[in-house]
Amino acid sequence: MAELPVSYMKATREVTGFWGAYPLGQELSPGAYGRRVKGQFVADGRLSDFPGYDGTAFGLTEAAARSPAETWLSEGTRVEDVGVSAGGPALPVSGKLRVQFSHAEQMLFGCRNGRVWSFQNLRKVKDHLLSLYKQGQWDRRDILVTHVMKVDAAWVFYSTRGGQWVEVSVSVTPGPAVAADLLKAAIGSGKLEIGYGGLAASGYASQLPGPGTPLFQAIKISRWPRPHPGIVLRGPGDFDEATFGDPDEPDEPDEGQR
Amino acid sequence: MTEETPDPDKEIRRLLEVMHDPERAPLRPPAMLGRLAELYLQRPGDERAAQARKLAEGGLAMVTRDDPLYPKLLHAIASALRAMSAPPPGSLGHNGRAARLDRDAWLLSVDPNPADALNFARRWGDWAWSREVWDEAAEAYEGATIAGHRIVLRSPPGILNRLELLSGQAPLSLRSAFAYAQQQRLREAVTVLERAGDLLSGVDSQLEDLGRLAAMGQTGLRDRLMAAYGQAAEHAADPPDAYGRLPASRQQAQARVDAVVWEIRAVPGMARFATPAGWADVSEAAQHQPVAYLAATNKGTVVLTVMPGARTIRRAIVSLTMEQIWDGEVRAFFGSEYERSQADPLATILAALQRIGLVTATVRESVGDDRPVLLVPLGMLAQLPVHAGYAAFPADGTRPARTHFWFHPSHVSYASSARRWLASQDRAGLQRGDSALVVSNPVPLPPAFDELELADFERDAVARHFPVTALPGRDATVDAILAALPGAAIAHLTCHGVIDRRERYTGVLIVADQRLLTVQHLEHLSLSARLVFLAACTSGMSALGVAQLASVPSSLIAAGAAAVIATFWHTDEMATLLVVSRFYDLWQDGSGRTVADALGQAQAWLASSPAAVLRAAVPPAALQTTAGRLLADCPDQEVPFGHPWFWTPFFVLGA
Repeated sequence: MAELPVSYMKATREVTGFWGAYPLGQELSPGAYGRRVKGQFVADGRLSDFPGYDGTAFGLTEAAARSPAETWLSEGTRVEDVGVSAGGPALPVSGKLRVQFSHAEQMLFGCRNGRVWSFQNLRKVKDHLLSLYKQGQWDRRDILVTHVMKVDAAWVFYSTRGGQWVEVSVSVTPGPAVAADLLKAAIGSGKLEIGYGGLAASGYASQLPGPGTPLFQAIKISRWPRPHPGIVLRGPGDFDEATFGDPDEPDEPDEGQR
Repeated sequence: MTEETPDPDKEIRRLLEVMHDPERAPLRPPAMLGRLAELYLQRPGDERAAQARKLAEGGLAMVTRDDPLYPKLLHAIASALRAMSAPPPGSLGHNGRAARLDRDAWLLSVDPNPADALNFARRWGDWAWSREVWDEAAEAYEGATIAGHRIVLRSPPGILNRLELLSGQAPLSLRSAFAYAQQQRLREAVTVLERAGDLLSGVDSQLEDLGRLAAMGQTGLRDRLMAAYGQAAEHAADPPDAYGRLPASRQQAQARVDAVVWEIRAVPGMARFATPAGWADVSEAAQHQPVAYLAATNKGTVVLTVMPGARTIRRAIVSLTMEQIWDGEVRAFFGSEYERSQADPLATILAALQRIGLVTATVRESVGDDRPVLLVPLGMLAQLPVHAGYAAFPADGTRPARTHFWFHPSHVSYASSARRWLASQDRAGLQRGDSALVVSNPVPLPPAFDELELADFERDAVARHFPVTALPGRDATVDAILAALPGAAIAHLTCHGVIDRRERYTGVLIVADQRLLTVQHLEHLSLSARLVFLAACTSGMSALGVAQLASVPSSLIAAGAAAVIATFWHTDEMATLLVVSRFYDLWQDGSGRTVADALGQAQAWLASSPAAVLRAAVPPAALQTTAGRLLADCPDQEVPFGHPWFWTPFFVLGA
């Protein structure tokens, strides 16, 4: 199966609020820092490598999973039944589903036991970054990972053209009647396979079969930090969200080049 | 792949061949003559223009006035006349005649085909505007506005729909008003602006009117109108036939919409349904206070102040052009506040408010003294805090340098039209704010944003005066807010706000789960709120491009709120808590203050109070936060929030 295009990271941000890790199996954690290279996040080290790191103040926390399985779909993405056996109450259901996309850059993201892993106090971390920046130890192009979604397994289905689709085989006991619910149930507790036994796809699919960190959020110091530190805004402050997924977007120039 | 531009000469040769072979003719002869005329006009030269005129006149001789080709051929003759060598400026000559022909073409098209009519009137107006033939320009551009109104009224309600329909048409009514003002035809000028201001926001009030209609038990009429709108939308793209006539499907769909609209207007209390606003609305609004209409064009800015009683309209023309406003004020605003330039936002805002002061001073001079005035800014001016314009006077021998704000902040409120303001006032009289919905610190946020530390104190400030239903943190989702807003008497939203480039640079609110609450979410709501307070950055910023009237506050007014308090730019957390707290205390002090008065007094208090006074007005715990540090550390007698950046972004829309 073809490799996911980097642009999937953006589509993931649209539907989940998090950027998709690239590759899906990339190991990430809050506190990792790095740069954007060809639209991807490339880690260089950890915040703890810098002086003044306070392990207590910058501690991490892991929220409980909101549900055993979560799925996010772009508008215009449908899950269709293309050959599911008729089950019944308490009976297993298995068969084939099709994820159908109406337009390019649509996606379905599903994960098992998604838990948000983040700093306990992001404000303190931001203050530390600003202080490192003022001391000349932090480069404005550096990106800090702030939130990560830890999962037990994850699946991504993605389109680069309208009309693309991906077939998956599912097996769930007992099985819900609606195709989208069936897919979610398979993600949560059942069996879900892509790319085997007569399955076909014109779109992209990728899976993380075991525990991993397929989603993340990251920040960087804004190009023009506010010159009045006493002001606390009800809007964007000294940081911007780091953006990914566009390999052609030029990486920011060095400070001296501006 | 680039599209190749068709060669007009090649098509002329093809059409001439076809014309002599009736078997192959795809068009009637007059249509073909008109098309040939158009093709001749695509290349310059007196000879070609003369040929085009001859062809179009030949076509005109073959059709009657009720033929849909007639106005198109008139327009072709007009275009040919204009393409001939220009007469001296001021002389009508060919161009004057062309204007007459285009006016006739407009008149004949405005009902059956308003899209054509708009085009004819715009071309007619552009010629007159460029030559400063003011009477022609005023009439032509007003004609274009009327045609635009027809198009809008026949399409389903909805802000996005309006934005598309009106795209590119926004400056025409402003030019019409400017041209009328040049001729001292001031009532006409005001009426054109009133109609333009009402076009976006007022037409969307159709949804609210339809809700009222349903409440009267007339659900059948409402459903029939929505069905007729739906059919009209389905056929909107059906092309005209080879003779330029609208297809029967579109004609029938339009007629169905018109027929139901007339039926609705016959229902008692609905006489103004889907009608353009006009002088009657202006006159009624001006019974209460002066109403100042502001419109910037590429020839200057006109300020028309309708004085109380509506017997006098004062006119002032400022040499500030639309381009100068864009290059100066708007760009400075966007530069420092939204695009993030290197400029210090506090200094930039100060400079921008001084420049805007040129317009504000004109309003002040028209009004005569510092008293309450209703501002109806249109176009680019709707994006600027005209209420906060000031003048800086340098020190002279006797006095130190000083800053003079042209209006006390409690004396200015905004409306998108007099009709909308009257509707707001009616609602304000009917609705009693006796409980409040407080949306407080929605989370989770995008990682670049921090949780609002003072949100709980702000909720408590509201709760001092009203029983509060809170939607805090994770509960403040888009769905939960949209479900709760219709039942809210007062709605207070404490959250982050940003400018969204994908939403034509309107301000949007960040709510739970990192979602955005936008203009689009609000357009199908029906509200009965006395007040919605959007205590977030840039919450009042309106869309670029189309009359600048689409914004979260104007959508809330269109949905039924009586008044909205919002912000033009960023707000500081502590300054906002202080304004909010003081505002509710004053508004609910039993003296019957208006929203504008209470907000303005709160702003003035923030701008002038020393730190010791402000510290005493907030709970001590608020001073222990990051957001409280600036105030906590300020010496007792210093005024920490005296800079206009802190206190002027808040404004009131409605009554």
